[in-house]
Amino acid sequence: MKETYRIPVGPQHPGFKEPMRIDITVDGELVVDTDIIVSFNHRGVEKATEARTYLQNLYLIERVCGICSHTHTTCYSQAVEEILGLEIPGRAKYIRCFIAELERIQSHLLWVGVAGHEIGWDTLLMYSWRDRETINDMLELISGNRVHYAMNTIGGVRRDIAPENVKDLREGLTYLEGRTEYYIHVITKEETFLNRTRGIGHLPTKTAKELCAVGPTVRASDVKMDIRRDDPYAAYPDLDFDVVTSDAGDVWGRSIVKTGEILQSIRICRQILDEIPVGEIRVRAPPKVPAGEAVSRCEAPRGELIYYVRSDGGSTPERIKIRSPTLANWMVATEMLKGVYIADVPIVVDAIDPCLSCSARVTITDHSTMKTVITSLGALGNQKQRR
Amino acid sequence: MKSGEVARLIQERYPGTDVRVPRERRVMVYIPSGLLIEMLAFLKDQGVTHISTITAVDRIKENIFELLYHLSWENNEISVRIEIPRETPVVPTVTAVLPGALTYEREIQDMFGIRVDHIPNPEKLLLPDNWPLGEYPLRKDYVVK
Repeated sequence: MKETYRIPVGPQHPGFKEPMRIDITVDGELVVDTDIIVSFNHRGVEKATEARTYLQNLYLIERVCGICSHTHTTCYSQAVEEILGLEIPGRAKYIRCFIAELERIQSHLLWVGVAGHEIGWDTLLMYSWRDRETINDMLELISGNRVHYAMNTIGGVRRDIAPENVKDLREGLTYLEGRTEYYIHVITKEETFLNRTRGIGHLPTKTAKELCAVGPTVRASDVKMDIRRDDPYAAYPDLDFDVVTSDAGDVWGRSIVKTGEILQSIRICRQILDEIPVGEIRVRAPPKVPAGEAVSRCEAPRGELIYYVRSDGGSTPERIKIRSPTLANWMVATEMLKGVYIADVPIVVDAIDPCLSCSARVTITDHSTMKTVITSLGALGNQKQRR
Repeated sequence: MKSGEVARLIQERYPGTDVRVPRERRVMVYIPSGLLIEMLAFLKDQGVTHISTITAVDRIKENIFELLYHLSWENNEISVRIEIPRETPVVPTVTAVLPGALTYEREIQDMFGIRVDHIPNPEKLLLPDNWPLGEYPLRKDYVVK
């Protein structure tokens, strides 16, 4: 008789940033079913926004995410500006895009490192995170901050790109371009990486569309969906870039898409530095927002981010709805895990680049002896390599 | 496709439906709750596959929950909007038409206590296991403790 075991993974794991649990049902080494539980750290941000003014909310919303903080405030500011009927200055739109693309580069580089770590190849983590410092320095040069840049405000941006910094920014982009080309070479040629990612965590195009995946995850399943192109905002209508897709549909395809996007982001950043219009960087926004509503969408590093803001004319919003890309990708993550080996669970989960998450020590119970082993996800990942 | 064309397409099939285009690439479709599944199935036949999310709004003064099903189609974000009474907050599941809606249906069940009929997975999504029964944090009458 075929027997399956259910293994809880999480909710605490030193390798991940936030708590979640994956219950995996295994038949031997193979995962046959999974359930992802994310209800460990709901912070109630949506409820909290209803008790704060529109401007206070800007700073709360910046803290929804540490990695894509700028995309969140961009999406929120756009919605409020739409209700106010404010048209922000052209220069502000370009600066918003510039920061957004730097943010995408740092997020994707971070992912390359984490992916390396999950397959037990920490050299890649050390390399890519060292290079990621370049981006943090560039962001600090512009905003004074490495993580929460606090660049957006309702009506524009808070800081300008100073002409004396442009040279340093261009040098940073050139360095990153060289490094990214090297990583693409590594990802496409290095056996260690290919063996652990080719054909792993496969997501067919049909399933990706049906379960409404977003971002690099859906683009790696050959769906050309990118909010910057489909629902262009800020300065994106004026900027040239390619939507990177892959028909591989596996972890490798997701790596190809993410690294390809870094090159596109560098291309966008250069265009912005060449073509940025001169002028004001913000317009004054009234503190009270008239009754109204707006749906705002942005392409965050992990995919479609959507905000719905409704005002009843008071100083605090009636409702702010936030749907971050990771929530949209959980359902496909469960699908991708079906049929993979236990050792591949970390890299497959990581391939959607979960922002909300994740999990913890892995408890494995050997059914025959009822002996429980507690190990780390990282150690699980290394197991396969050692064999 | 231009947003005006999307609005016309819906109005041709369902004459008299209130469809508004607040700006290019945004379409608001106001329908009675009984028409929800039929409308989503119609839009799916036209090529809509992606549901971005479901927003619920507690209009406590009017004793109404408003639900917005945000669908993305080519360049347009279409919001299909229904209103349901606050005393009997029940909606049918739309997962048969859009399987990707499951996450968001579980979310509105948790946060607003809106019951989703025949939902394939009724488990809590965002609230902890020990969350008290009958307390729905995003309702306007929920007091933060």
